Amino acid sequence: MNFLAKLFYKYKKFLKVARLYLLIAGPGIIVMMADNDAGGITTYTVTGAQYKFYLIWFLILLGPVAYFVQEMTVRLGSVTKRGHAEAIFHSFGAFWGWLSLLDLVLVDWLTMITEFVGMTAALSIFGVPRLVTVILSWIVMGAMVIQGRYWTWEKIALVFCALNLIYIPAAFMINPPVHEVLRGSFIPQLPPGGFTNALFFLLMANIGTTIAPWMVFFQQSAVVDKGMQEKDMLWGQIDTAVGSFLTVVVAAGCVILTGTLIPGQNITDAATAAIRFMGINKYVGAFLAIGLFDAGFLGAICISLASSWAFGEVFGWAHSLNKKVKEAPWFYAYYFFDLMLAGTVVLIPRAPLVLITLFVQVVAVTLLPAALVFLILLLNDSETMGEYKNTRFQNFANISIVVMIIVVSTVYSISALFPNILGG
Amino acid sequence: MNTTVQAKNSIERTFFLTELLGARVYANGRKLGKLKDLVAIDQGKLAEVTHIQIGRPFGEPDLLVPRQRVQSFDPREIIINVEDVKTYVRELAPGEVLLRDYLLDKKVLDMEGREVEVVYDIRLALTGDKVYVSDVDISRHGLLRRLGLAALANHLSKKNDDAEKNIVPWSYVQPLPSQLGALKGNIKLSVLRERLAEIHPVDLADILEELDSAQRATILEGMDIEHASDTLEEIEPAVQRDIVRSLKKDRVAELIREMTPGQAADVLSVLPAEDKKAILTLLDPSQVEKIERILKKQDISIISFATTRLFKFPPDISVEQAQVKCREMAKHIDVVMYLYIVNSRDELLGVADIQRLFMANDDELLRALMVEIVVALSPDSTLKEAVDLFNRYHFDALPVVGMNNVLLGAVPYRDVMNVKDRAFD
Amino acid sequence: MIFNFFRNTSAAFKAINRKYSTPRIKMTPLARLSLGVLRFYLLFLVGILVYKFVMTLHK
Repeated sequence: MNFLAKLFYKYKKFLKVARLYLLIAGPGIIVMMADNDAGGITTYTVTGAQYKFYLIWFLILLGPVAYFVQEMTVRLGSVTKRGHAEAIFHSFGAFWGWLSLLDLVLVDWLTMITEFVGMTAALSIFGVPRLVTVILSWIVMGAMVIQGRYWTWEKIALVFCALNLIYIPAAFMINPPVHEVLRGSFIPQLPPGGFTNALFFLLMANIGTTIAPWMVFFQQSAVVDKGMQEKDMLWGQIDTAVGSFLTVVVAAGCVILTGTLIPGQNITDAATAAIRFMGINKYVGAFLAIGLFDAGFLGAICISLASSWAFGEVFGWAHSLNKKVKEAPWFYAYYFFDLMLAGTVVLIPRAPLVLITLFVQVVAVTLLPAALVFLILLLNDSETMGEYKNTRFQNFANISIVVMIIVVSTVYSISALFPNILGG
Repeated sequence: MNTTVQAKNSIERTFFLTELLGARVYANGRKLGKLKDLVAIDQGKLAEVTHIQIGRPFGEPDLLVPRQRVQSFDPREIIINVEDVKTYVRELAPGEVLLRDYLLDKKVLDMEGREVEVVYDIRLALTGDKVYVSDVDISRHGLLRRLGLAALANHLSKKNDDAEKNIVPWSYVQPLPSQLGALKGNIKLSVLRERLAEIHPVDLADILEELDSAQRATILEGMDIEHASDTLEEIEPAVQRDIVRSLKKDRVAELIREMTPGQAADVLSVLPAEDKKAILTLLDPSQVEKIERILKKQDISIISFATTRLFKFPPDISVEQAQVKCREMAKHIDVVMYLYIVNSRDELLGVADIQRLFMANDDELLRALMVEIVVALSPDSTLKEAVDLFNRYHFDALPVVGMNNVLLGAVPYRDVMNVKDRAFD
Repeated sequence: MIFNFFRNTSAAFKAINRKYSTPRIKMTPLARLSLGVLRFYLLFLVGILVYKFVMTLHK
C-alpha cells in the first residue's frame, strides 16, 4: 500500500469509529454537562472571584473523580438493564429501595428549585420577567419529550450541552493572564492566606457539585433507556470520559472569567457575577447569563427525568422516552408535575430560596453515601456483574473516592447546619 | 349494545354496583351491617346474583345471605329477612364470584377492541325476583362518575354517546386471571385462553404490556409455543425483561428456540446478563454460536441473520417434481416465498417466485420460471444495507451470495425489519 | 371513592414490597457490614437534623 492508500484506509476506519461513537454517545456527556448546573456555575464563579486561579488544579482533580463514579453506572446499566432505583430494590430489598426513592424525590425536587432560581435570575439580566422564563422553559421542556423518541430528546439535550461550552470562548475573549492560569491549573497550591474555613467550605462545595445523587440515577436509567448492551460498554465509558473532561473545561472557564474580571470581590451567586460583568464587558456578561440559564435548564430536565425514570422502574409504569405520552402517561405526568412544582415555587414571592438552597446540600448528603455504597456493592456482585465487576484497581479508586466524598460531605452538611462548629 | 337485557320486558330497574355498596342492611328493624359485596354465579350470557355479602362491625364474620331473603334493594337501605344470623356465616363455594372483589377496578379484556380496560362499574338488572349482572362499564363516563364528577360525566355524555358504547354486555366480558395462585374467581379463564390463540401476536403483545407480571406469565404459559414465541418477540424490552424473570427458564429457552438467530439475539440483548447467560446454557451450541456472533459484534454483517432453511433446486427438474419436493420440505423451511435455483457447485442461477411455481404447467422446467438477474446481498453487507434493499424492492427475502455467486443463505424480511438496532436511528 | 383510591394505591405498594421482599445481592460479610454502617450513619444524620430542628425551635 502506498502512503495515500494507507491514509485513506485510516481515514475510513476513523470515520467508522467516529460514527459508532456518535451512535452510542449521549448519556455520559449529558449527565456531565448537567452536572455543571445552576448551583455548579454559582460555585465556580464564587471560587474564581474569591481565589482567582489558585484552585483550578483542584477542579481538574475532580474530573477523574466524577468519571470513576459515573463509569460504574454505565457498566451496571448495560449489564443488568435495570435503572439505579430498580437495582437497589432488586438487590437490597424494599427497605433500602423506598428510602432511596423517597430521598431521591425530595433531593431532586429541592435541586430543581435551585435550577429554576438560576434560570430566572439569568434571564432577568436581560429584563425577562420570571413568569415568562418559567413558562417558556416549561414549553421547551415539554416539547423535548412530547414526540416520544429517546433519540430526539438526546440530540436536543446535546445541543443544550454544546451551549454550555459558551464559557470557553468567553474565557478567551477577556485575554486572561495565561501564565497565571497555567500555574493555577497544574501546580497544586494553596491560595495566599492559607487554609481557612472559607476555603474549606468552598472546596467542599466544589466536591458537592461534582458528584450528586441524581447523576447516578440519571445516567444508569439513561443507559438502560438507550438500550446499551455489554458490547457498547467501551463507548459508554469513552462517552463518560469525554463528558468529565468537558465538565472540567467548563468549570475552569467559569473560574477564569471571574478570576480575571472581578478578582477579590465577594459575590454569592452567578447572576450577580453576570451583572457585574455587564458593566465591564457586555458580551461576556451576556455569555455568562446565557450559560447560567442553559445550566439550569439542563439540570432541570435531567433531574426531573431521573426521578420519573426511578418511579417508572419501581412502580412498573411504562417508563421510556421512546414512548408516546399516551403510552406512558404516568412517566410523563410525573416529569411535568416535578417541573411544574419546582417552577411554581420560584414564582411565589418571597419564597425562602436561600434556605432551600442550604437545605438541598444537607438533604443530598443523606442520599449520596447510600447511593455510592450501593454502587460499590452492586459492582462487586459477581453473580450479576460476571466479568464486568470492579477490578482491583477500580475498587481501590472507587472506594477511596467514595470514602472521601462521604467524609467530606458529612463534614460539609454538619458545618452548614452548625456554622460555628468549626470555630468560624 | 344492551339488547340481551332490554329484550326482556320484565326489567323493573337497573342500578350500578357502586351505588349499592356500603348501603346499610337492616334485619327485623335492627341494623346488621353494611353491604360489602354481591355474590354471583356465571351463567354465560348473564350472571345471577345469588347472595349478598354483609360486612359487620367489630370484627364479626361476614354474612352471606341468599338473594331470596332480601326484601328490598335500595341504595339507602337494604332490608333482609333472617332469623338466626349465625347460620349465614360460610365460605364461598366454587363457582361463586364476588363481584366487587374479583371484578370492580380489575382489568378485563375487551375482545373486540383487543385492548385491556378497567371495570369502573357493574350494572345490575332487577327482573321479577331475580337480580342479574347485565353489563360492565368500562367507559370514561364510568370513571368520572366514580371520581365523584357525575355532573361532568353527564354533560360529556350528552355530547357523544361514548358512554353507551363502552358498556359491555356481561357475555362479552372475560376477566383476566388476577394471581397465579388464586384462579378460583376467574370464571372464564379457559375460554380466554382459547380466544387468545386467535389474536395476532402484535395485538397480543400490546395486551400483555398492559397486564401485571403474574398475568403475563399465566397467559404465556398457557399458549402454544409458536404463538407465544412470536408474541414475546413483539413485546417491548422492559416488559420482555419482566416476562423472562417471571417465566421458568426452560420455558423461555423453548420460546427462544423457535426464533431465528436474529430474533433470538434481539430478545436476549435486552435481558440482564445473568438471565441471558442462564438461557444461553439451555440452548443448543450451534444456535448459541450464531446468537453470540450477533450479540458481541458491533458492526453486524448480514450473514449472521441468514438462514439456510430454504428451497434450493437444480434448474433442470420439472415444476411437478419441484411442487412435490416443496410440499415435503415445507415444514422445516424459513423462507417459503422463493425457490433458489443453483447448479451443482451451489452457484445461484436465478430465483423463482412460489406463486409462479403453482401457476406454471407441470412439465415446464424450473429454468424457464426463474428470474436471472437477482438482487442479492454479500456476506459482509451490513444490516443497514439489507434494510435499504428491503425498503427499495419490497421482497420477502433476499439471498446472500459469496464468492463466485455461491448461495450462502437467505435473509427473511421479518428478521431484519424487526431488529431494534440503533444503527437505524 | 377516596377510600377506593387508597385501597388501590396500598395494593400497589404491597405488590412492590412483596416483589422486592428479599435482597437478592449475595450477602458477603463485607456487604452486611457496609449496610449496617450505612444504617447507623443515616440514623446519626437524622439525629443531628432533629437536634438542629429542636434547637431552632427553642431559640
